[in-house]
Amino acid sequence: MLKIENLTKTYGDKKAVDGLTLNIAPGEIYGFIGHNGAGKTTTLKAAAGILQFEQGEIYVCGNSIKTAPLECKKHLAYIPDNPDLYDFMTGIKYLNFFADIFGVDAEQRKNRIHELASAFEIEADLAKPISAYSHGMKQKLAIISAWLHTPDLIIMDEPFVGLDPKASHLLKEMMHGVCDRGGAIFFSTHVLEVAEKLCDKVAIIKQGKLIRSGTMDEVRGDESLEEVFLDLEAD
Amino acid sequence: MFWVLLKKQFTEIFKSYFYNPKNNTGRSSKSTVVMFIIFGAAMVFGLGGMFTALALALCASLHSAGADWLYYAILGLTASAMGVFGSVFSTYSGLYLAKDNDLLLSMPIPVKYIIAARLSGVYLMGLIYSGTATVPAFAVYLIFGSFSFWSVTGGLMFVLLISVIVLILSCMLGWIVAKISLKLKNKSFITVIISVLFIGGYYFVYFKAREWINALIENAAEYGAKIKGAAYGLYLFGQAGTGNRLPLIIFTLSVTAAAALVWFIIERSFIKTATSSAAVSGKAYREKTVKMRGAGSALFSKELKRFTSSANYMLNSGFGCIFMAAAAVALFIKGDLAVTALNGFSGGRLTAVIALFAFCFMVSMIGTAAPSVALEGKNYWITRSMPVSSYQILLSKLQLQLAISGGASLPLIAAVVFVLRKTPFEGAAFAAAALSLIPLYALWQMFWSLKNPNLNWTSELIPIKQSMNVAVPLFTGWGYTAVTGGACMLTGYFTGGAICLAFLAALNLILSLLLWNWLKNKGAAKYDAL
Repeated sequence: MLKIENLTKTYGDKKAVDGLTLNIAPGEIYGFIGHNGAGKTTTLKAAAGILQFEQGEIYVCGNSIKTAPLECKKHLAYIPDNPDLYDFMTGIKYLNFFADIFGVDAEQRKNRIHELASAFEIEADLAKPISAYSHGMKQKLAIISAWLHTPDLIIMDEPFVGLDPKASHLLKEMMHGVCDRGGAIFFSTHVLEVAEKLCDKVAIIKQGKLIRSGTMDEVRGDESLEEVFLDLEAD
Repeated sequence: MFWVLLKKQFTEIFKSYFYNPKNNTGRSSKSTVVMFIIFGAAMVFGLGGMFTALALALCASLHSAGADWLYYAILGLTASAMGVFGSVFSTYSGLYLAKDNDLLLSMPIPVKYIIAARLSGVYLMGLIYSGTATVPAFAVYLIFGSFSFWSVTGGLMFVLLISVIVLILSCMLGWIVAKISLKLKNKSFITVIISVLFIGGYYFVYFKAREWINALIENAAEYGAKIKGAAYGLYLFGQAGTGNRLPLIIFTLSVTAAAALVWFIIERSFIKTATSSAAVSGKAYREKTVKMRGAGSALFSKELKRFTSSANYMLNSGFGCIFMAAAAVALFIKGDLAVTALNGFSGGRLTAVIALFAFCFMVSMIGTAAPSVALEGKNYWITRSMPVSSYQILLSKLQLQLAISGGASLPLIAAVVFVLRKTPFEGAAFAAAALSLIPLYALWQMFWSLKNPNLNWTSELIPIKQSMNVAVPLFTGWGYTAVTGGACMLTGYFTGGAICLAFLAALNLILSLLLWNWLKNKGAAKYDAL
């Protein structure tokens, strides 16, 4: 579903990501963890086609993000760490904008918006401008817009930040739902307990380099994910 | 602590002069100096030149009539209007809508420091705008009026106190705008309507000014006595400028007291106003089926919504529309009179060329495309993560500019063609040249919109008003007008205007094609790499 090969991205002299290779298969929830500035957001943005990179290759559903970016983007959705949405639109206009761009037909979008917005309990607020939304409401709107066109791959940067417990629970169910229909999720998080319970596979990145990856059991062995992470960080 | 805030405030205002947002490195001191010189030259030779001419027209006559105070009163009022016009909306957004208000209010910083730092930015802008009128007024008075210790002191105090008056008026109006904004729902359009009325009044005064100035000069003593009787404050205001000691002291104390009162009001209401939420529609969303649109149409709608949701954007980038609409109406009503006057000037050879000259000036003042890339700001990720090409994204920005400038231009072009109906070739050549300018200016703005756009702004005024991406295409647009218009006038006098305009239309189309090709390839690649 998502194949990252030898990804390298530099900012000036600093290598933000250094030769990273990952493979995310259909049906997998893949967690991506690392300390602040380790290169998680850079990797996620590169995978979503937002950020250009110098070396390596990224494939989404078999298409190269470098040579066929639009084909890749048709299959994916991205949620950033901070939901900076169009403040000048209302919630419903924002969702319709997404639906138009991704070609979601009128009937399908109506049903999806109703289903998702009522599940996140923001349906009544959709007529309000986004500028009046709280951080959590913006996060919910970003999630709804990502799920609107039923993408095969969803890339999320710290998706649980700002969500209330009920919305977090719902998002976890939705993530499993994507995998059940053959899609995949690639997300970063600092909450190791969430990663441990939710992910099929996990990758740990440090100073732009992948230091461990695999199934949850392979990565943590007999220890907790937190212990493994702290040990690796200390090395 | 205050100095840190002040430094932050000024760094934000002049960020693009010191830092290159593309590579996030400091500019060389040489390039910073050059940028400041360009800005200074625009203010001094553009606005300053206009007010110097006004000062020169008034000074000697009023001085010889013994109405020196009237000279300072007129220029003081003009400077105040200019300063308020230039800074009232930036006061509102800079003071109450700054994105870092919450951050600063959460820090152990006294609120008065935050307000003072913000007001310093407003003061500086007011000083720059009012200074374009007060400094020439002061200098001209020393040369053609009176030169003494007290006239110098009075003049200097006049320059300083007018800038404080501008600050006071901007704060008062900004505060009113902030209060109204909390109640209004369609505030962008209401703000634009009020501003257009204000601008209309300003230009009415501007066009009547020569007539009034002549009447004033001829009857200085009579008008002076009437104004003194009816508005004694204005008399004192003017007397202070001439260096008359008692009025100067009264004027200084009055301005200081007014400034203290405004400070008191703002300090008491700042937190409440800055943290209040604007009125939000109480209507709950009701589910309905909407018609599906294509990606291009959705992107264009998004750009249009961005434009119509911001009074700052509409006013600063759509300003030329007002001139064009007014000019079209005026031409349909009194076009024949204008043609007769222009025919008298050039024997009819250059009428269409002069009309195009005016058209160029107005169309170059419509600039939605220039700040459009920078306005993406932190929303840049949204369209970049979607299955649309960068060219499609840029095209939607270009289309907005074409729709607005084209929509405003067509009635004016029709009006010019109508008044040139007796010389149809000239009319047709004008229409071709004018129509070819619309895409050229739009593409030229898109070209500049991609030159190191600042995506990390905290107030939308920075990309809309205070950026090189906006200033350069505007001034170069005028430069292109001057060069091509001048060339057409020189050659058109011998060959006739129609041939020159036809050549100009061809040149515009060639340049447009080159820019369009750049936008499609290199421009799109630049957007990808932001």
